[in-house]
Amino acid sequence: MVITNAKYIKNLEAENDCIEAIIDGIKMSVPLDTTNRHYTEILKQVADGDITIAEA
Amino acid sequence: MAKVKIQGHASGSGILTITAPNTSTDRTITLPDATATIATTVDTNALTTRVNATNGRKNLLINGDMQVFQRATAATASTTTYKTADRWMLYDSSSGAFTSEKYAMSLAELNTTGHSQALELNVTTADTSIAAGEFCFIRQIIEAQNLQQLQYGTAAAKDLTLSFWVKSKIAGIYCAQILKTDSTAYFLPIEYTINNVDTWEYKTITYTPTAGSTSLITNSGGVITNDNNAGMQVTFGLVWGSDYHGTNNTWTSAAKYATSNQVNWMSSTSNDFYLAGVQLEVGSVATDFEHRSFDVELDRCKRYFQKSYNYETSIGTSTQIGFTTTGGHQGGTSTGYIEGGIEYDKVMRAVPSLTFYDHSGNAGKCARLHCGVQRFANEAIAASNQSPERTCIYSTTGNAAGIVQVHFTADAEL
Repeated sequence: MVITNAKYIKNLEAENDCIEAIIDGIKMSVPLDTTNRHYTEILKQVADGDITIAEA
Repeated sequence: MAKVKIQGHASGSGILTITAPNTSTDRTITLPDATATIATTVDTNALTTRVNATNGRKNLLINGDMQVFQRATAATASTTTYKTADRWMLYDSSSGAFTSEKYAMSLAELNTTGHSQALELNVTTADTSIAAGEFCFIRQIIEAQNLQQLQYGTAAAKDLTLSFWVKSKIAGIYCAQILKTDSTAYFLPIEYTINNVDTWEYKTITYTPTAGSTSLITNSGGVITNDNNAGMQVTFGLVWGSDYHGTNNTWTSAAKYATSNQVNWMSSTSNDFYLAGVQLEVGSVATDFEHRSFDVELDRCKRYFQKSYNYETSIGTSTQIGFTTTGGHQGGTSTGYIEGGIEYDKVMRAVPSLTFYDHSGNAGKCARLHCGVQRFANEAIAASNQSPERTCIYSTTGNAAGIVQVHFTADAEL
């Protein structure tokens, strides 16, 4: 999975609500849910030092 | 084997009496009017398996007959994800490339296979020298809570039988592997042979819990946790580098997906591969394919992927048909927030990843509608407070409008 341009998106209550990222060439809104395969891959790539998630 | 011969006599009606030990009640068995073998234990076990397998929905796979293609039907480059047939993941880490698409069977092929559609793969860039870490495959991942009847992790763990139709430009040995992913991961590759090129062949493979005289699956590490995460992967290998070569038909905790006999399907741009009628069922006997109606299969696929477009419409098409229209209030407009919601057709497996498109096909955008005045394209859109059933969406700022309109895909695949 090629992930770029990851950044947090805040909800109307100003809390981090999801991550917006380009995944395999498609802009996606990824929930902060560990049963979501895109989120688990983002966490893995962050842990591996391959990507960072920009603040909202 | 000792045999008892009953001599035929056209007018006879006698009963041969044999004293049976350990019972005081007479038992009369009527023999068939033919030379035959009375059912053995193997026969009755097979019959029991067959009867059990035909109860309810026996196919553990979804879209096994390749009916549903929500994402795309035409040739699509396939790298690391779901591209065409619903629920079937394609992965290519080789130096080559391949595409996938929907294949419509001819009447002759329908006559042979009993299936009207298949998943077709074509090599577009060859890789004649497979590095140790390279691989290409077709895979379906099964939700763990749908596998509890396998009783993995206990001594009563069940056999699984995979059956499918396959056709390829490259004959030889391929590997179809199952991976029990939950708790401890265990791998079981099994070879099958495509005997003739360009010919539909029916294959069956039985995966036993103790394959290779192992006890990995019948011990506690074999448990499949009862949840909505991945429980098992079924993988059809196309290419496997030597890092992934293991022993045929033997469970292992090492990441072995194939044997060294696996052909290199990526060897030429002339190569193609077709897969249809894939069924995974409990038991040691492959039974007839469980044909489910299109609406049932599509509904099951929607637990993992949904889109707002009409079924036949490609994602990102410039169209208003199927547009989700939500939020705001008619008559009033704002250049600030417009907020609304999306209800999914079906409760999804998990909170999905969302991709938005406006009516012009701009990804990551929505339309802001000023009713009766103008529909503005390429406007900002975001999601919040998402669940497997619905999500809030909002457009933060843009042209003065009262309603937000958007196409979407929702992806909760494993």
